[in-house]
Formats: sequence, C-alpha cells, structure tokens
Amino acid sequence: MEARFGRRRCRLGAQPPRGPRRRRCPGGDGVDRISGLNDDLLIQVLVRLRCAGAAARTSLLSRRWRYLWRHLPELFFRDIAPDALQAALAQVAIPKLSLLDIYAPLHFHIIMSVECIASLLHTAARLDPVEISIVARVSRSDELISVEVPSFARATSIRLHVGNLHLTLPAQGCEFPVLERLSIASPRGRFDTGALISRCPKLRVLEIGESLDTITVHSGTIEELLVTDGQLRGVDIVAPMLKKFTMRSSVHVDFTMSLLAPKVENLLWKCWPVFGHLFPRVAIDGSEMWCLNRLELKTEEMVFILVLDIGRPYSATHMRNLQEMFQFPNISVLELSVETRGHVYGAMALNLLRICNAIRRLKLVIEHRMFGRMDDEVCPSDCPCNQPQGWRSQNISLTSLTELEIENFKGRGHEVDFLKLLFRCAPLMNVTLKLASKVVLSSRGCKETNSIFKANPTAECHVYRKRGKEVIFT
Amino acid sequence: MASAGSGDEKAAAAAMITLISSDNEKFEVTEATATLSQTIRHMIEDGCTDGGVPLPNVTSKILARVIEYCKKHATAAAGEEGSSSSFSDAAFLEVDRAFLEELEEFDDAFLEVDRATLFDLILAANYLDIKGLLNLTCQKVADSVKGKTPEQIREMYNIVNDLTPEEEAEIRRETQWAFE
Repeated sequence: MEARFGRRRCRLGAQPPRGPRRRRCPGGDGVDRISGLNDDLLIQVLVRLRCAGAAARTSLLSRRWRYLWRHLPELFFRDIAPDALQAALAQVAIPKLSLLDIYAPLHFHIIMSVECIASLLHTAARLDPVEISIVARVSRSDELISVEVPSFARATSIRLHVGNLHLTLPAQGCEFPVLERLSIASPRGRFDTGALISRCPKLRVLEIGESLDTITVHSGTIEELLVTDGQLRGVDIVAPMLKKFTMRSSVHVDFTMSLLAPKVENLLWKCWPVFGHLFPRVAIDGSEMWCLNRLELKTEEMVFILVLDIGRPYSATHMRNLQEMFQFPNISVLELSVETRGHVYGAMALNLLRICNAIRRLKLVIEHRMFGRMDDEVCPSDCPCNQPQGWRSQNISLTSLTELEIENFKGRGHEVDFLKLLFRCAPLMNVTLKLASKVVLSSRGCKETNSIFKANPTAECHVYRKRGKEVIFT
Repeated sequence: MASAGSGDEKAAAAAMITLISSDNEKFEVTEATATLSQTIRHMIEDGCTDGGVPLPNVTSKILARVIEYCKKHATAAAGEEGSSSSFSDAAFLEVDRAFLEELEEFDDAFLEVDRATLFDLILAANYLDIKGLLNLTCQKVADSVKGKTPEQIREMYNIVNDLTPEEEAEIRRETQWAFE
C-alpha cells in the first residue's frame, strides 16, 4: 500500500492527509499508541502477520479493529479447513486482492474435495489477485475429475499445486494476460501444459512439478524452466528466449527430449530412470551389460559438465541410445562413474566418448558403487562386456581432450589398453591416476603404464595411492 | 536508490539537502540519503528544496533516527548498484552477503527503541514515504502481536475494549473460522 501523499506536492501540510477514521481509545494520554495509527497503517501491521486468521482474531480487540482485517490486500491461510476458508473469503471487503496464499498440503485432516477446489478457484478468480498460490491436498477419486482453471486477469504469479485431478482450461476466453511466473504441479493428476502456456503471452518463468506425461513447452517468452519430481515420458521444448533449464526428475525408459533453445546458457539436469520391478532398466549399449543409474548435466563457468553413473543391470533392460533420450549441448567435461564389478569398460566408455567428443577433461571413476561393496562378477574371455573386441584398436577423434583423471586404477590389461587408446586419440597434457588399494607397483600393468607415460613426455603424469600419497613409477 | 542512470552520481551524492524538524532543528543530509524518502525525492525533482525542507510532523529526535536509518540504507543501495553488473562473481556475492548481514544487524539494533519511538517512527516513515523503514517498523509491531490472544494484545498496547458482550459474541460468530 502506498503512503497517502499526493505526488508533486511542494510543501508538506502540517497534518497527515488522512488521519485515523475512528479514535475510540483514549488518545490524549499517549498510552494507547497503536490506536494512533490510521487504518491504512494498522492494515500494514496486520498484513505482516502473514496469517489471515491471526489478523481476523484482532477483530475482538475493540470496535476500531472489528472490520479491519477484511480490508487486508494480502491474505495468507495456513492449514485451514475448506469450509473455514470459504467462510473467510466470503467476508473479504475489498474488491481486489494483491495476494492470496493458501497452503495446506500436509495437514492430515485437511483434504479438499474436487468441488471445493473448483469453487475455491472461482472465488480466487473473483478476488482477482496479483499473486496467487494454492497448495492443497485433494481427495482421491477413482477417475480423474476435470476442474477448469478460471482466468486470472491481473495475476503476474500463479502457483497451483493440487493433485488427483485433471486441470483443464475452458475452450476459449481464459487468458492470463500479464502472467510472468507460473508454478504448476498435479501429483497423480494431469494438466495440459502446452494449452496453458499458449494462454500466457508474458510468461517468463515456468515451474512444472510431478508430471507423468510429456511436457510440452512452446513459448516465445519463457526464460526459465524448472521441471521437478515427475516421471517424465518426454520434454518437447521450443523456446527461443530460454536461458535456464533445470530438470530434476525420474524419466521413463522411453523418455525423449526435443530441445530447441538457442539462447540457453544454464542447464541443470538430474535424471534417473524410473525405478521399480515393473520398469525395465535403461541399457546404454548393445551388449546390455551396462545401464544408466543417474545422469547429471551441470553448468559451471559457462561450460557444460556431464556426469554419468553407470552400473550393471540386475533385471530386464531396454536398450536406449543416450543421445536419443537426451539432447546434449557441447559437453566440456565428462565425469563417468562405473560400477564395473570386474568387467571390461573400454568398449562402453568409448561409446560414451562418441557422444561428447569435444570434451576437454575426462574423469573416470571405476568400481564406483552406488550401494555398499560388491564382489567382482565372473568375466570370461568371451564376456559381452568385451564386445566388440576390436575396441582396443578403434580410433576416435578427441582433439580437445587434454586432461584425464582415473580413480581406482588397478592396472589390469584392459585398463592399460584403454589408457593407450586415450593417449593415441587425444592430445593429453595432464594425467592423474589414483590407484586402487593393494595395487603392486611392480606389477605388469603398472610397468606398462609407466612405459606409456615415458612414450608421451609432453604429458604431465601423476600417480597417487588411494590415500593420496604420490608415487613414482620406476 | 541514488538517482538512477545519472552519469554524474558523485556530483548528485555531494548535493546537500537541509531538513527542518517540527522543533525547528536543521539537519544537513546528502541527496542520496534524503531521496530514500519518496516524498522528499518528489520535492527535489520539483526543485522545491531551496531554503530547506520543513517537516512539521517529525520531531528532531525522530528525524535524527530516520536520518540514521536512511544514511545506512543509502550506502547499501549504492553498494547494490555498484555490484549488480558483476553479480556472477563469487567475490562480489561474498561482499554482498557480508554487507546484507551487517545491514540486518543494523536494523535489529535500530529497532531497540521504546514503544513510543517505534510508533513515531512508523508515522514518520509513512509521512516521508520510506518503504524500507515502514516495512521494518510495521513488521516489528506485527511480530509483537503474533501468537497473542486478544486479551494479551489489549494489555500490551493498552487498548480499551469498548465492545459490548453482545458485539463480542457477534464477532466471535462472524470470525469463528479464525478460532477453529
């Protein structure tokens, strides 16, 4: 609320333009100072309680206070029962609110019926808030019931987190002409993001939570997109102004991404395949020896870093090409953690390097374990992990790769072969090996590694024990 | 909140404004400090500040406190403008954070006043249209009321209950939702 002064006033009057409307309490003795504030200022105080109930309870103080709360431009409700909420909103005495915030997501007793949410949305629309946030639990029904989202003509920010229902838009006439920020989540429910966005010509920031579908975002204005906590089947983004795209969600095995966002400069993805015995694992290579546990893409100092956590599948798999699932930008750093369990990882790693052959740095953590310690598996000479056998002699152009770090290096034959391949295909300048425990320096693998280092004098190579002490090969 | 976009900010900051309290005490402040008050800012824009700005609703005691607040926050506003161009720089963020913490400490200490002063500050902040100060002081009053029963609030602020028992019952009925 603005202070009540006319703009462009040259000399200030001796009295404030609007004094207290009613002065019931003894003002002369100066003791009841709070009543010396005019109604606008008392409302300023009540707004800052950030609780409509607490504000309404001050009605009991005196006649002066009785109807004050009904003029609050901002109303916050926490853990309030649906009928109490309706009763409260019916008493609002100003035609338009600046903020309406209803938050009752976890309170065990407060579950709204679908009818209640529908009526609440219409009441909210009538109060025409600039900012609206409704986070509520909705009762489950056997079939998803459709609830129409009304138009919010003045809203610049909308948060709607209501589950178990199908949020729809009226066929026409529903517009969000000034909406800039939209956060929408419908746990176990549905909503059509594409249709919603098409009604928001000023949308800049979009947050989508708990989606089970493909998310479609075609917007000429959106600059920031945040997708969280879903079980995504796909994302389809055409957003010429998009700068920041964050996605923290599980993804289905058939997930696909289509990302057309030429201006994007900040990507942050944390994705993991939907887990559970009903869902096949995402195999990332033809041998189906390896599966994706987790994928992370981050942006640090304007470069993109891809972190892949690869493990052994212990249930049915479905082969996917990572490049088809995700649309990667130019990756500068690849951090690959592999739960190898004694298998040959060269062929698989080579495949992944093809996805990001412009990297400057590769970090490989082998024997990485997601859960506890596991013993090596049997790996016969014809084990599929080593297929195609020819990977050792393949070539790949890694013209920018200068930095290499390998953790838990054991010096096994295939590991040395992979190291050889990298030295052959990349202009390595800086190589760090961190040995697994119990590696014997006089072993054949270590000797071979040392001779690779010697054959590449331009690269600075360092070898460390597991606990960090540097060792010198002899 | 120094006048945005002006090329010679230093010159603007050096310009002094005289504020005159209700008890006729004069305070010299920089324009950057004074313009935290929207009311004074408009007067400066209109060129009505020659010969000082009389503030007949603000005593020298309160005006001194208000100026103390504005000085501190004017520096903060200038600092923010200076660092906004390089917000991605971690070092700047560190400086900003330290400064914000300092500002918060200042605000907390600033609010250590008796109730009479607090309400005078609210009136002055409203009169001079200083958003930050109005927010700070109103929040302080709101915090003092939080979690209290109507009886406790009445007692704390010496509010006389002029409601008849019938009215009180009626209010309880009306706002039953707030007492559930």
